[in-house]
Amino acid sequence: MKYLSLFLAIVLFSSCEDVVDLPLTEGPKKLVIDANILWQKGTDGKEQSIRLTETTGFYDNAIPIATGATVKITGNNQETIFTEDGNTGIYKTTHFNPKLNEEYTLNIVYNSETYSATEHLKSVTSITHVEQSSENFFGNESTRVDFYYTDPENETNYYLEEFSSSVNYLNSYRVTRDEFINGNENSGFEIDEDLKTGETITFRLHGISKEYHDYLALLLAQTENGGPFGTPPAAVLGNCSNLTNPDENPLGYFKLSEVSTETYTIQ
Amino acid sequence: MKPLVLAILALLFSLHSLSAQENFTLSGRVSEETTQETLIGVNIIVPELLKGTTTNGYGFYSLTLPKGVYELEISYLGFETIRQKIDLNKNIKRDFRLTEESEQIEEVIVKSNSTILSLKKPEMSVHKVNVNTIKEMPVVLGEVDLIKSIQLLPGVTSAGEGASGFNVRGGAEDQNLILLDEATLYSSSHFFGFFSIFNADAIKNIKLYKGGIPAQYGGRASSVLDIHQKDGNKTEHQLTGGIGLISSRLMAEGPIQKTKSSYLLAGRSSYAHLFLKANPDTKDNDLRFYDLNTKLNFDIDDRNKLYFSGYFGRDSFNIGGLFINAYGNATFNARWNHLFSDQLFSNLSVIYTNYHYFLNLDFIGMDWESGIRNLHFKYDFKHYYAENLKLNYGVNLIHYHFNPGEISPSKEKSAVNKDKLEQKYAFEPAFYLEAEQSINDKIAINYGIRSSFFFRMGGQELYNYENNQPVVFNPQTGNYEEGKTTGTTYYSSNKVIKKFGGLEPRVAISFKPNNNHAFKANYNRIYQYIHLISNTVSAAPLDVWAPSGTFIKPQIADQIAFGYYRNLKEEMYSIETEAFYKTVQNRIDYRAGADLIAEEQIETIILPGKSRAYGLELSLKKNRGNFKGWISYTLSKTEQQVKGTTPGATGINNGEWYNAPYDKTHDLSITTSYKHSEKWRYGANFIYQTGRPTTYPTGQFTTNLGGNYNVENENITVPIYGNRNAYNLPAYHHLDIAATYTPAPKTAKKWKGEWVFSIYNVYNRKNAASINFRQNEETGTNEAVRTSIFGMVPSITYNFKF
Repeated sequence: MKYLSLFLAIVLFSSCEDVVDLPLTEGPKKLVIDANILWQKGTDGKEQSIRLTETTGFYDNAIPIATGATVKITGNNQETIFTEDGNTGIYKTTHFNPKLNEEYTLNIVYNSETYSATEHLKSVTSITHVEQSSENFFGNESTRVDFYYTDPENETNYYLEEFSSSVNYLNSYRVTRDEFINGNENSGFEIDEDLKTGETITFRLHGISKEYHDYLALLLAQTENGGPFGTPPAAVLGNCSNLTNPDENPLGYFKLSEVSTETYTIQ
Repeated sequence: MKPLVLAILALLFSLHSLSAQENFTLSGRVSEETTQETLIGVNIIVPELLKGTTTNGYGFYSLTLPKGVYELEISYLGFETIRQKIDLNKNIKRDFRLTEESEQIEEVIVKSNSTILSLKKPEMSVHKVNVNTIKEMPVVLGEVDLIKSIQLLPGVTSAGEGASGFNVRGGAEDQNLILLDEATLYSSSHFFGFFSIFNADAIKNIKLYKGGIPAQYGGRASSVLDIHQKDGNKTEHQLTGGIGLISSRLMAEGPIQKTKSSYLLAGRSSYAHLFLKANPDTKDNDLRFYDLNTKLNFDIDDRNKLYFSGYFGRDSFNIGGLFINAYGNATFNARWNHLFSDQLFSNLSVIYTNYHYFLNLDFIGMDWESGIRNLHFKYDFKHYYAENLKLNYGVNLIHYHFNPGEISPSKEKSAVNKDKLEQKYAFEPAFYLEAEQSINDKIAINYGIRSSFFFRMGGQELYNYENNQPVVFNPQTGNYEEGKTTGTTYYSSNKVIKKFGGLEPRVAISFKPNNNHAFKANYNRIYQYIHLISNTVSAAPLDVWAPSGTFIKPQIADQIAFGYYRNLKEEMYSIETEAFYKTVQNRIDYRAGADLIAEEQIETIILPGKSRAYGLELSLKKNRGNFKGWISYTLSKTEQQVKGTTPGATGINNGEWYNAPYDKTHDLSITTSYKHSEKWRYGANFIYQTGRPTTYPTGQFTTNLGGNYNVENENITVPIYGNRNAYNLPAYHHLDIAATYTPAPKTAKKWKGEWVFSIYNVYNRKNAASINFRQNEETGTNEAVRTSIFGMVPSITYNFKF
């Protein structure tokens, strides 16, 4: 067995990873717009928040916040002002008026420059049921949890699947589309050997636009380990633009999603 | 192009006067004495005239000289030279048998005239690699690797360890034409690039053209790797094999009818799967690769020969039934050699190639298949018109069927719908004519032209785009995006969707002031009509090939090269220096983060651009003695450019030239072998390359997709990447050593065995295959992570023959 594991270690993905000290040069500072409007199914969706930060050097531990901006969203015949919660860079409202498939425009003034973005609030189908099973990977028993939902047949749908569990510090995210599963029952699933009886896993399904799907696929690819078959790294540019100075576009995304959530306790 | 054609005709007519003399033709085949295996590239020289020829890919030669008595010299590296007097007073057919050089003779310096021909030939930018040399090179895990060995030549690099394919003079992996017995192969590696697909035992001859590519070849912009399989021993049955750490191989060959026909059957298989099966925990897993090489050949009579050869190779992975992956090449070909006369040799080939990729993802319930198939007819002629003029001409027709992907549910309870991406079809016909002419004792030229065409055929639906733009630039966000589709058009299968074609001139000239040195120059233009769509750092097995068409234009490569060659100390040493400049039009790159898997509309993710490469190659070779080897060094630059074509569009890196992913400024290889005694031989390789270009982050930003901005562990850190390929990975280098032990045979038995011990990467350098940037899962801080593949790897292999 020792021989075998050595063998596999060499042959299969015989890579070895180590952290290296690599000095990097920092690029120009930019505004980052983290405007995620989520309408949880079954709620009125009036409470929303947006965060503004700035870019920083790759190894810096603290993310600089962007405070003192004016933030508003117009759409569904209403203008909603977001007010900053102290000096946190987080801007909140309790008056947002969500409507499915409606177009909304975000407007931000920060450091006397005006930023803008437009997006639709995308609907999502409900999670119907959850199933638990097990998979065997090289002799290790892993728990698999499937969260089922039925893709609407006469629409082109894009999804963000979000998993948070009691056993992992970071959430995991996956974007998918209905290209191959249109109209069928599909599942978002997680396979994890740490998911033992009593642990919980929460699944959130966001309805998203094609543009956001592409943006997020690229963003997630940058955060994952590339390896020789990874796509080459690339700049992740969102849907926000700088109206004052078009050459200095901000980063981040203005996204509005209906969200379906389910929490499951491992049996 | 007309003036060139006229010039060719004028030259041909000017030769007509020569044929008025009384000339006779000496022709035949050259083969190895004991096995009667035909030999390729053997020199047949008339030293007194400083004239001669070499055997072609089928061991055939023909030499037409004025009536007279000549001393002939038949010489081939590693074989004893034959000297023979011949009275050429009529057309003579003569076959020669060469015996392998015995060890004693090697010590005595026998001056052969073999390099006279190579200096005089305009052929340059070409390397012949000896299979025996390759077998004794130290390699990872002792797996003899043809592709890794050609990377030791000047001008040839790879993306790194575990990277499939190779790059020639700044060419991409898909710009290499890899021929195995004339059949095109679409991938050259096993296990995602760790091992090459060629079983060295079954290989007779390897030739790599980096430039000055003869008109006979076409379809790939950068290089031709022409590999011939052995025909099989015609006199006796023989088994050859080897047992290594990763795989074992066995080859059987022998006569079907003695001296008339022979067979060859060679197999190679890895055996990791046997260990997996033996363990109850892992018995549901499978991991293997295998190859099968076969060949049959029949001498029908003096004028006709038939060859059948085949190759079948597969990689296969099965991870507990959850993930099944199998892919590889299959080729079959039938060839007929026919001599119309002593001076006119012909070969007709029918070749079928199929590259197939299969993937099953059981946990999603999905099967995926893709591939490329082609059927290829070739009719090639070699006309030995006169001693100073040879003509090569022929026709070629390839039919392609591209399957970019087919998806189906793999089990009953699967969410996947059956779907098939549009199948694509094309024809690629070509004609060529080339003359090899020596003007006088000092100057020789090869000049020719290839005319190629490409017909993208219907039988599929194509998308139409607003303003005919499949990719549009969004000036608001600075992103390239998919163009807006305005519907589809169906083209019936007898309709041509798009037609391309062009003339590809090929010229080479040599000037040999004396027998010790020569100057050469060449130019070639090549059209490449099919493209490998790959947006990964290293080409992956599931990458698909796509034909040129409405939105993808053929790549057009122009290359010019100059060289200086010198022999020193009675040919003990040779020096080769070459400089090249190459441009490729319509080289594609991809918009940022393009995902190519199952992409129906490939045109929406690619950005047309161009590439250029230039460099200087130096090599010093020691050709004889117990201590042999070569040093090669290449200084080069490879760049790409994608300009914005619509107003406001930025292209890639603002339309500036940027480093191609395979740009390597410095590339040094030292390859040596030393024969200590009859029992012990040693080898060592050292490789140093500039790290491949990569992109590093210039900062970071944070996002929280769920909108819970205060929940620290839901914040995602995103590296911000700057200009494409603006940095280089740390330099890549390693030293490898090998020792081969051949025990003295105990009895007079036929059994011959040898042990090859090797150590790869002796000083355990952690060469970076990639550097990635991530958030540490435990601490949440950002870090740079180096992935290295092979540390120090010792290995042992046993080879045998009986």
